Amino acid sequence: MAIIIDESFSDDDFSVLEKVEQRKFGSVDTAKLKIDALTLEKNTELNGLISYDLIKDNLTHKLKYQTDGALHILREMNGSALLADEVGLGKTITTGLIIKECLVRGFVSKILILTPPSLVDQWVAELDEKFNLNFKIIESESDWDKSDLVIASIDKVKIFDNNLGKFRHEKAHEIPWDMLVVDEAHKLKQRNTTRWRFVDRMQKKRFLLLTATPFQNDLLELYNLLHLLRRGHLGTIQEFRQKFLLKGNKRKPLNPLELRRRLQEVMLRRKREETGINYKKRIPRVEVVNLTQEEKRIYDSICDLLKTKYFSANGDELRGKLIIYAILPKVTSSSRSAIESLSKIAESDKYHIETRQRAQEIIDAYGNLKTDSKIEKLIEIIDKILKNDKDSKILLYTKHPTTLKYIMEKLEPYNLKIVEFMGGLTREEKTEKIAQFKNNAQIMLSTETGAEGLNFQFCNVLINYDLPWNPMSVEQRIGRLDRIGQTKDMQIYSLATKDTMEEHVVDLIINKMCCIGLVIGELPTILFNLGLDSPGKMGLAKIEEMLMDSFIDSKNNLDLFAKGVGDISKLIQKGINEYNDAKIASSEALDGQPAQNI
Amino acid sequence: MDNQLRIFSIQFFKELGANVQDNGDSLEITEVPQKFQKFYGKNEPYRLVFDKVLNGPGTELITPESYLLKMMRAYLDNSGDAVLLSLNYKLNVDSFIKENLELKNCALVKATTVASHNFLFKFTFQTTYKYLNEEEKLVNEVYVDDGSIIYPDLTNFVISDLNKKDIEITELRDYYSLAKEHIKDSVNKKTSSIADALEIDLSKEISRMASYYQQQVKEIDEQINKLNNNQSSRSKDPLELEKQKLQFASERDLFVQNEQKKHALRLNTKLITTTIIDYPVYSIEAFFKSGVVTRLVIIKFDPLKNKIELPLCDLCKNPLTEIILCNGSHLVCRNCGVRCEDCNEISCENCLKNKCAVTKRKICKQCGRVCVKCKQFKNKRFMDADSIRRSFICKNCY
Repeated sequence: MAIIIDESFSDDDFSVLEKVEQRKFGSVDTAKLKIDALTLEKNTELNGLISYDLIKDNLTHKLKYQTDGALHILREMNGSALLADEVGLGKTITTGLIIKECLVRGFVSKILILTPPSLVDQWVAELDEKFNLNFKIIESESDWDKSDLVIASIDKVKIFDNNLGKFRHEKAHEIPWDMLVVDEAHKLKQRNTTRWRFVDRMQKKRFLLLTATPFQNDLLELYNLLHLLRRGHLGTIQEFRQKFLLKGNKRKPLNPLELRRRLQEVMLRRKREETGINYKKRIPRVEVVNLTQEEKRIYDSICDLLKTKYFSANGDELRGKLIIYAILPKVTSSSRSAIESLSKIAESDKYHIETRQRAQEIIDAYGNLKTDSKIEKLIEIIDKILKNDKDSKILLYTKHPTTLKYIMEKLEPYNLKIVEFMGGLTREEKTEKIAQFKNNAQIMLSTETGAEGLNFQFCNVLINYDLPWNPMSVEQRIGRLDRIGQTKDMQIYSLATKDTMEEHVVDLIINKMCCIGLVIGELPTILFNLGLDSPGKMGLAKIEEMLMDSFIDSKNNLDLFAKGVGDISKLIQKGINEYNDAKIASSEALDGQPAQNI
Repeated sequence: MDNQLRIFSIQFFKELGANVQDNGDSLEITEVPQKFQKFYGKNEPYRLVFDKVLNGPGTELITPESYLLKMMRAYLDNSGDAVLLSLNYKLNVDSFIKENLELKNCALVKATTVASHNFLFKFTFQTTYKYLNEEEKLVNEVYVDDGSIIYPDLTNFVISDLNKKDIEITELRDYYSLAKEHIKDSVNKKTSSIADALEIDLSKEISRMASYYQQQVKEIDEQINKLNNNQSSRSKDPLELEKQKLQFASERDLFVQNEQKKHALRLNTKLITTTIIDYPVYSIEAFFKSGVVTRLVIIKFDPLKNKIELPLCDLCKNPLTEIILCNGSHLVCRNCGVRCEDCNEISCENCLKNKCAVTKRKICKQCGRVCVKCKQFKNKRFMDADSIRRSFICKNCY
């Protein structure tokens, strides 16, 4: 078959001729330099990443396997591959290197990245911060023409409209993409899904599928993935079955060496042990806060107020999840933020008089409190940490600026060196604060928004003064420490008030999700696999909404709430088990060796 | 190559007006104009190294593939695309005459040169080949002079800027078209070699797909056969299977097309620089003397094409490589030069037409005269001069 040869002369030629005709002559030295540059510049072969110099200062770690991987995929696989590195090796970075190189060399102009919903923002931020690439998010059907570099949530765009008989975002199929990237591609394991068909229908010159676990239960999943990447690479299904499927065992290949040889042509997979990266453990330390009788009474009163006596001025019961959610975390964060929120209720005529009176009573009760057990516990923890290692660096998190200020005040008498870190800081201010923390301070007291996307691998102690109910937010907090370059095991302290719902939430999120030996990046995959990573009906994280539902449904009965949390825990465990199975299966089939279990 | 890159980098940043400090292993570039810093996307200072071993944090490695070199090249894109040059040639007339003409019976008395100016057009093209994940670039220069492609050797010229605006360039577009056609021919060979390599790769991909779809259809045909022979327990509709075959065919066509697009070769040729080159064409006026005869000879010399227009023999009009002056002041070649049978001096056929009426020998105008009385041409020896009437009379008539 003949090669398509597209031969053209640049339209710019006439502008050059016009300059001559207008006698706009330049200097001979400049012209000589220009010709010299053209003669010196050779791009004949892809021997290295020419774009690397441009972004290397943005990367915290220069990892050779990442640049080698990008080069391998570009040179040996023409930019189309299944990138199946184990979790934690930075598939995003490797992909970013490939994208940047292709853009700099002028190979591509139109790029689409399809990711799980929860990772859209993270991709946008990483490509911007590390690669200076401005990807736009596809929010609606009309966004496809707005930029050449786009990211979309696959769950959002894959929707097939049965009434119209077409994909809602069919515009995506009309565009000839120079490069398509699908993150967490193991979700494309079934050929009869709209997700698979949506991706298959794309016109793509270069195609990257990213997943650490190309299959889970059945080698046919791997076949389906590769069928998408390269038609016929593993033959027809019948041929694949005959050649590679062992009867009675769907996960073990019949002819492993041959399968691996075929996979190597289209797949790049590196294991953590090959890269020499030493991953550190997350050690959970749940610190139980025993409330005094007075405090417990106040806590119960707040729960009672929110669940049974929360009424609007006209007497309607206020049970909207969002309203409760807006108040609940604040009142459980600290006494200061609780008083702030309760004052708003007490002073607002939007609320029923009885609700306002109850709120005022609780505020008064706070006024009579002699101790704050939570802050005392915090001081005790800090004291213990610093006694153990006076050089320890502590990253102390709270969700609320009010609580942050409160903690600052309470810690003031102890002459601790504390850096305050909140949202709204400029890049320079952030850099300055990080330097202060690294060089002089003992504690960085931060809100989530303050430390988002920053690296604190020089610190190995984290304290969750309050805990977000969204596990991904907690994962983000821990992720500040849990990075390549962390040299010590990480101590993850979380304050949990005894006999309150907080105790159960901390147990679920810390002990059952974030500190169970997962490597960074695995939890989002598990949640994605369970369909729990996209926003729920109220627009919050699904787990968060499930917890909220349990809180509301429990009617202030802690046992009922604990049962609800238990159900969520079982679901998560199921996801973890399946993920483990997938890891083992992928590792055995693809690497010829068992994977390390969680 | 490292050295060339180093020299280029120094010249580039100096041309920008930046400060270049040579530290041996590296070049420290400071005071870089904001415009370039913005263009490159990185703030100064730049520490340039040319050896991979020396590359580290804060350094910029300059190699033929490096990004900074690419950006330096790109920065020059819109400058230096129209240039006016002058080719200067040092002509030593005396040596030139000696080298090109042998003076047989004469000497050079005086020589002067007059230079006229011609314009040579140089079109510099860059052809970029893009295919798969490869990019190749070729730089080609095409010289057009007087409507023809030429391949001049400029090593003997001193090149300098020409500050002259009243140049005649009406042929520019025609010459560009000529150069463009020439470039198309020049890149064809390279295009074919890349296309051949791509074709091998494409054939592999297509044959993989073809065998896959062939097998798919075969499997469906087997199912249909089984259904027709009632051998299959599955209740599949043969029509549905036939439909699947058609779907596979159209899917195959689509994937083959996609693969073809992936393997497409894009080549774009761009005019990078147009250089108008002024060069001299000399007209040399040389005076040669032989005895009492002096003759002006004009020789034309085009140093660019190394083309010399030699003087022609006055008689046969052939170019001369030696100067022979006849005693009638004609310029003659060896073939047309004849010796006078009396004095033996070189003469030419025009000057040696007459025979002596006494001796019947061919003699030149210097040796013979016409008698004013009998009108016969005779050797001067048979004549007496009439000094009053300034004429000759033969001894028979005297």
